[in-house]
Amino acid sequence: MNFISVYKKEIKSYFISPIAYVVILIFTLISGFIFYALSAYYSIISLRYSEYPYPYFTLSPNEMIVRPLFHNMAVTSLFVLPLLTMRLFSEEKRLGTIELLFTYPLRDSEIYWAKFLSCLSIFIIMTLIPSLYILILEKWVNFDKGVIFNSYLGLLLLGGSFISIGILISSLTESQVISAIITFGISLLFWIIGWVSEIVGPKYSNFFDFISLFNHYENFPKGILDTRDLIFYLSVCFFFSFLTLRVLVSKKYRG
Amino acid sequence: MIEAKNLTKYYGRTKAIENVSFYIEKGEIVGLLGPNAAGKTTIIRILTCFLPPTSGTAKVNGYDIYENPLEVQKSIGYLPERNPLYEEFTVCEFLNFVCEMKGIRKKEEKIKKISKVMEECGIFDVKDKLIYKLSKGYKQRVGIAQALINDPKILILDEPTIGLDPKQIIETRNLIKNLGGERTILLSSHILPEVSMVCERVIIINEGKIVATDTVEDLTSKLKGKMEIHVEIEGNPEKVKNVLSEISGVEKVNIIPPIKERINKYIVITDKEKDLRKEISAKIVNSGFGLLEIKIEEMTLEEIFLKLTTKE
Repeated sequence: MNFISVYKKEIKSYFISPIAYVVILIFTLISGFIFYALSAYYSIISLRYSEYPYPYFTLSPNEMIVRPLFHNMAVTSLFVLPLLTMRLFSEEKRLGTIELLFTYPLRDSEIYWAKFLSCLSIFIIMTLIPSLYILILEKWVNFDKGVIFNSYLGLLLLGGSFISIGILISSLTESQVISAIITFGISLLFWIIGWVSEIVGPKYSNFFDFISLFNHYENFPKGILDTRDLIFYLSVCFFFSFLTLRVLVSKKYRG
Repeated sequence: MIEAKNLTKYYGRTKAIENVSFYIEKGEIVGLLGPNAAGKTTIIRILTCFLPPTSGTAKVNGYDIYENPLEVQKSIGYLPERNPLYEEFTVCEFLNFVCEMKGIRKKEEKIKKISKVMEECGIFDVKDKLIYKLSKGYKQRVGIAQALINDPKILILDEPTIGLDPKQIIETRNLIKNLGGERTILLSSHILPEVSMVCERVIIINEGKIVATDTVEDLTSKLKGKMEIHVEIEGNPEKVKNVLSEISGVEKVNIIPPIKERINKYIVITDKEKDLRKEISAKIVNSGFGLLEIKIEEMTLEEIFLKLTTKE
């Protein structure tokens, strides 16, 4: 039950501070721009090919709008999520309020999951707005709803992974700026780490391919729900959450 | 109510406290006294389950800090050292959050508790202000209010008056005094008058060890050692000194310089706990000198504290 109070407090702080407004605004602007560019391009192309029946029927709005939109939203999230996660523990540590929070009768895990879910909620609000664009466009274009839903699920899983990395870094430092920079660096590294799989040779290439956050994301906007990807993201989330909880306990022991 | 057993805490290789044991009865107001960096905050953090000790254990309100940290935290109200608060909230919002944290969920009960605690701490008139806009004194009261909100049996205050102006200090002290009675209060401080004014019992710690623990009065008399009687006498200094030294029980007579011809001040040092004022005055008057003033110099807590915490 205390979990809900911490959750409410975190959400409130996000909007009071007003980092949530800023991040949501920027994200909406960028994704709006991307959506506009993609759909404008799509309409030009479909107009051009409207006289030729064969290429016209292969032009799918899912391929040309939804997939790139969700790809770009994933990249944008990579940039903005560190700004949401940076304050979660760093600020409390710097202001000393962590001592207040940790001496109230509630478990470390309750505090952690409340913070995690508050950040995820902001992320959900932020990414739901571009979905409205798709709903509007649905009046004229036929989208495959399953693909949209699947892409959205992928985005949430990816966001959850970024958030769990961000909270871990936030629990390690008192400086919000340092927390944001390191989170961004690590997330980006995990995003592109698949690039080296070609170089390192067959022995390790599978490994690097596997731990790349990007490689597991690719399937979702295609409309493929692979349990391997699902489990991969969930395990990333739980792995970093586990580490954060360990950090919180070990900080206590080291003082 | 609070029982600490052989608490030891290392931060890395630095020793913060060593073998600290004490017991606090229900309803006592106890001061934890020590110079800066003596280990006061460490002890308090252990008792509030914020930090675990390296070895040793403690029981708060009958609950073990290892086995039942949540129960321990439920029975205490805690004001941390620098009084951290969620300053972007208003006083009311913040207290509402603390209420929920401490398990008060019903709306009427919350309103009742919050208004009661605001009354008690005198923050009713700032209830809708953002905390960061409040003065330091008010913030301190909000800090005490959040500690008090669930009517805890035990109140732990870490340096509650630090950084306040003299008027605010007096107000805060009075507030703490009024909070006593039913509640057990442990407060830490490096300011001596505060402890002697507010507390019934003092635990003095230095370099991580308890050096003394007693009631304020007992501590003063026990550590007094020898008694000093200050007298002002009219007469030839040499002769007066001789007369004073003849009195049985007098160990030493000092004349406070500069030595003047007629009226001088003398310090008569006597054996432990022997009040010789009667004998001295009789002797002086009988010898034909003029007795102008006579008084016992009590050793203040300040001097005892210095005596205990400084190496000679």
